[in-house]
Amino acid sequence: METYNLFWRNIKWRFQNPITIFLTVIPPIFWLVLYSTVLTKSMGGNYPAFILAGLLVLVIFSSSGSSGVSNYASKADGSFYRILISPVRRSSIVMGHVLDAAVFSFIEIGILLIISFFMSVRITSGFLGVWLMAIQLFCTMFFVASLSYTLSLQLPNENVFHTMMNTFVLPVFFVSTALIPFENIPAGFRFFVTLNPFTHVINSLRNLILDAFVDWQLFGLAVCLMLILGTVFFLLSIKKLHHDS
Amino acid sequence: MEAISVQHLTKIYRNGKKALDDLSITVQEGELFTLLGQNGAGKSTLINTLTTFLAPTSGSVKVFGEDLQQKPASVRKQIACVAQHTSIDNHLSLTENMLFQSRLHKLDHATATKRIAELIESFGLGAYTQHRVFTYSGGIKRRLDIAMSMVSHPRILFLDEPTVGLDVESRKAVWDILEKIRREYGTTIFMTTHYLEEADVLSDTICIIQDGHELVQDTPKNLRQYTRQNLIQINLKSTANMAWFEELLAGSPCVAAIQSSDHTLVATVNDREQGLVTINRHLMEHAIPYQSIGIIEPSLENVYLTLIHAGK
Repeated sequence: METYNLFWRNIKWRFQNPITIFLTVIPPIFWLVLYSTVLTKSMGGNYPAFILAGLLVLVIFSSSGSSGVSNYASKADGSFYRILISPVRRSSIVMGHVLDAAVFSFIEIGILLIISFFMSVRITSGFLGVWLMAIQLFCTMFFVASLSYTLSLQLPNENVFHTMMNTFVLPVFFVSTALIPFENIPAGFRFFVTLNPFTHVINSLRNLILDAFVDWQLFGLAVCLMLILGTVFFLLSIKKLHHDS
Repeated sequence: MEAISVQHLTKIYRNGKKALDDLSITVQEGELFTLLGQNGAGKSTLINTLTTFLAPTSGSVKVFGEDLQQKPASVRKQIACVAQHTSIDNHLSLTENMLFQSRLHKLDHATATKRIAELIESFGLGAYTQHRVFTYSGGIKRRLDIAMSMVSHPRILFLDEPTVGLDVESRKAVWDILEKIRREYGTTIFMTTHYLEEADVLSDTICIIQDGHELVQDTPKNLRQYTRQNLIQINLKSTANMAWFEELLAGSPCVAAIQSSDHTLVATVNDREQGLVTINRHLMEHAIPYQSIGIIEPSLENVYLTLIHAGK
């Protein structure tokens, strides 16, 4: 009930400000259209289908990753204080934020999937694959939104927050298999690419998009990684809320 | 019964600033308690600590006998706070804002709906339910802020400078609401303010703090005795000879200090009767036209300034 209340408040704001949804989905759409057009010939095969997995993660970076910014507005207008001195569980406060970020991200993912459908992208693993993709994406949102919320509690203002996100998001995106298959990555970089948890998420999503079979080992690894990292940051943000209040 | 008991409370921020310094106060159930102090005296830090937002560095705080640090969740159920800046969500309607607050306090829908209707009626907000919240004036927003805080029927309502920035009419409306809250709900009210008149009119108890430490805590009436000032007020008919007469009185051995404003002089004298006779004689001898002369009680402002000055 209390999580729903916080989620309801956040989502009301989101739907009254739809521009926040459409602005953050533009860069991934741009990437999808531009890279598919430019690189389809040189990369061969269905490049939009190949690149989609990475772009789905990029959408989560831009939507769930930036979700912590709303916390600064809440602090400025006093609602953060009002919520914190109420008898609401700290975990519900963070979960309300994660669910809002998830809805935000899923809307953007829906837009990206519709556009990619018109670019001949199909989910080869079928109905099961779609469900597994949804689970995988939700776990990723859980981690990224929890990380974003923790940072918003830790960093002093929005400018520092944006600087921090911009500094890390693109390097993390590039040091992964988002744009290039693992085997094409120079040997010296492969260690770092493997170390990047999002590489495994992208690989799993790509398996579900491109292949007719489900690589359960890959799927399990990616889900576990996101759940473990998400739980760590979820608990960190709760601890920070307890510490602040 | 003691609503709030604060003993030797100290709060030191990470940057080393000591905002509260061995502060001890007691607030009785059902009273309106006002905290007075200059900017940076520690008023907001104290409210933030009492509302569980900040953790104290040392000392103890009990709310209705429950330790704030050991049972913060239990304390949160019994309190509400109207912060210095209104904390209304502009994207929600008036009713939605109140519903959101009621759900934060886990009220069931039927109870919440009933209380919201009562509060809208009681606080004169009925005419505004159809308007967008961001179009409200500062006074109406403040009224809604207080109404939201009352939806959980808190046992203690904290208000951090609730009338700052409001016009005279809106301020009076907030005063009426606070009186109503005490009368109809029996809520203990803990308030900070810069307005001495407000503290004087509304409070049962006033506490003056400076540099995070309490200087004095008492009723407004008793506080006036702290100054032990003997004041004589002279209302002159004109300001023609005022400067000259002020200088004359300042040189008189029985006058310790003198203040002037408009047509009025207020002399602090060592002995009331002697001072009255001496000043009266000066007025007669120099044929100064005046409307009245008399011994006056010190105002809360006199008390405040005297104590703050003594504290320094």
